[in-house]
Amino acid sequence: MTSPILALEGVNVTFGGLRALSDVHLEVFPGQVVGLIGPNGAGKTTLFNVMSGFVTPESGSMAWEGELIRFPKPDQLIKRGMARTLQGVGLFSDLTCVENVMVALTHKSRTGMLSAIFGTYDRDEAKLRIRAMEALEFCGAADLANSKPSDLAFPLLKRVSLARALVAEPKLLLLDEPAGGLGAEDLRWLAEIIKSLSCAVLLVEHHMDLVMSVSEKIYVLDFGQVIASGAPEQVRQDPGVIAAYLGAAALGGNNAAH
Amino acid sequence: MSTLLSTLITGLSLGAIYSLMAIALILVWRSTRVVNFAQAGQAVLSTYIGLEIHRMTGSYWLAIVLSIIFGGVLGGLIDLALVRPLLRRAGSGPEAAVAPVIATLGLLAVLQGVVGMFWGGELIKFPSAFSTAGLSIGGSKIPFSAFDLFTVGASLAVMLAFSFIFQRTGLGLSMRAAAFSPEVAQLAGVRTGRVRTIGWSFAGAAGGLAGVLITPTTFLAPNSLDLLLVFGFTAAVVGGLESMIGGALGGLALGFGLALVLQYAGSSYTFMTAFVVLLAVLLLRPQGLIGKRGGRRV
Repeated sequence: MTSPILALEGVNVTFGGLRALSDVHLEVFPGQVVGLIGPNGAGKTTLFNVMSGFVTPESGSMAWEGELIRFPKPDQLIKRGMARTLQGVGLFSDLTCVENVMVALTHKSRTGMLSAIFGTYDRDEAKLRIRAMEALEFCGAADLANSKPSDLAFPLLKRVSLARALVAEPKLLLLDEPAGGLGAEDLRWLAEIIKSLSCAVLLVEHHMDLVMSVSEKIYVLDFGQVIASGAPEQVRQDPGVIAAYLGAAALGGNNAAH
Repeated sequence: MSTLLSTLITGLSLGAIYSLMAIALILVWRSTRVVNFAQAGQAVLSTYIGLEIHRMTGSYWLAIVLSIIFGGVLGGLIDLALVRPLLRRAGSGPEAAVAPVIATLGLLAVLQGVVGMFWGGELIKFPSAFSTAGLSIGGSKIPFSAFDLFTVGASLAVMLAFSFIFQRTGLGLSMRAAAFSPEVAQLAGVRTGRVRTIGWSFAGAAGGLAGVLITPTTFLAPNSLDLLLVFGFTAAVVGGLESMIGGALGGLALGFGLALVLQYAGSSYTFMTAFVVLLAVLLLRPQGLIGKRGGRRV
C-alpha cells in the first residue's frame, strides 16, 4: 500500500481560549482529490493555515510522503511540493498576469544579487516566462498574460491564481474555495480541470455539487472536529453530517452549506 | 545663453542626486513599509569611508566604488540587526506606526555621532575626479561641469540598472511581489525576509552614491546630508512613494524647481520651498503627482 502524500494527526489549535481545531486528522494519497467541507467557521481555512505555516498548532504532527516533518513555513510550501490558492484571488495587482504566475517560479531561479546585476537572469527570466505561459494556457488564460488583474473579471482572476498554484508542479494542491463567485460554465470548467490534474488535491469548498462530483473522499469538519469522513455517498447520508448542516436544506443542493 | 536655460541646466545634476536619494527611500519603503530617516546617516558614513579610502590610496575610483559597496552592506546589516527584530517585536499594535520612525531617527543620530567621533565635526572638502568648473561650448561657458556630466551619467546608470533588475529578473519580480503582499508572495515561494534585506542593501548603495556625488560641490560634515534627506523625501512624495520612476521624475522636477527658486528668489528660500512642496503634496495629493489613487495596499 502506498503511503499518503500528506497525513495530519492530532492537530489542535486554540485562538485566545477558543478551540479552533480539535484533534484533527486527515490523509491525502497521491493523485487523490479530497474534499474538506463543513459549515462556516468549522475550521477549514484554519486547517489550511496550519498546513501552510500561517498558524502554528499547539500540538499535532504532519507527515509528508510517509516522513514526519515540521509544519512548513509559508515560503517553504512550494519547495516541499505543495501549492495553495487563497479565498478570493490574492493576485499582485501591480504585476501583469504572466508575472503573477512567474513569481511562483522565482524560488528556483538564482536569486543572487551579483547574477542579477550582471544579467545572467535575463535568460532565466525568459525560461520562467515560457513556463508561466504554459500554466496560463492550461488554465485557459493565455490571452490574459499581459493584462493587469485590475482590468479583469473575477472568474478570469481565479484562473490566473490557479495557474500560479500549478506552475511549480505541486504534488499536492490546496484549493481554498475555488468555486466562489463562479457561474455555471466556469464551474463546469473547474470540475473538469480538477479531475484532469495528476497531483493530489485537497479542496475546501461550499459548493456541494462540485465537491461531491470531483472528490474521492470527503472530510467533514464541525466546530473544529472531524465529524465524518468517507466516500461522497457515505458522507451525504451520515446522520451527524446532516445534523450539522440542518437548517441549510439537505446536502446536495447548490451551496447547501450557506 | 539665457538665464532660464542655464538655471535649468544647474538643476539637472542636483535633480539627479535627489532622484537617487528618493529611490533609496522608496526602495526601503516598498520593501519594509519603513520611512528611513537614517538614510542620511548611512550615506554620510559611506561617504566618509570613501574619503578615507581616497586618503589612503589616492584613487578616486576605488573610493567611489567602495563607498557604494559599503553603503550596500551597511543597509543590509541595518535591516538584519535592527529593523527585522524591531518589526518582529513592535510590528503590530499601536506602537507599530511610530516605532520604526523613532528607531530610524535614533539610528540617524547614532550614525552621525559615530562619524563625529572618528572624523570630527569640521567641514571637509571631498575630492572629485573631474573638474567642477563649467564646460564651455562654442566659446561660451555653461553652468554644467564635467563633474555634473559624470553625476548625471552615474545616476542614470544606477537607475537603469535598478529598472533592469526590477523589470527583467526573477529577483526583481520577487521584490515587487513581496512589496505588494508579503503573505501571498511567501505562498508563492518568495523568501520575503531575504528579499527585503536586498531592498535595504540596494537603497544603501544608492544613498552612498548620492553622498559621494553631492559632496564635491558642497562639503562633508557629519550632518551635511540632512538637507539631501529632506529633498529626497520631497522627491519621493512628489513621485508617490511607490514608484521608482515616480521618485526619479520627482527628483528631477525638484532639482529644476529649486534651481529656479535659487536663481529668482535667493538661496534662503530653497529649503523652505522644499518643505512647502512636501506639505502641499501630502495635503492635496497624498498619492503623489505621478502615483495613482488607491492603487495599492499599505
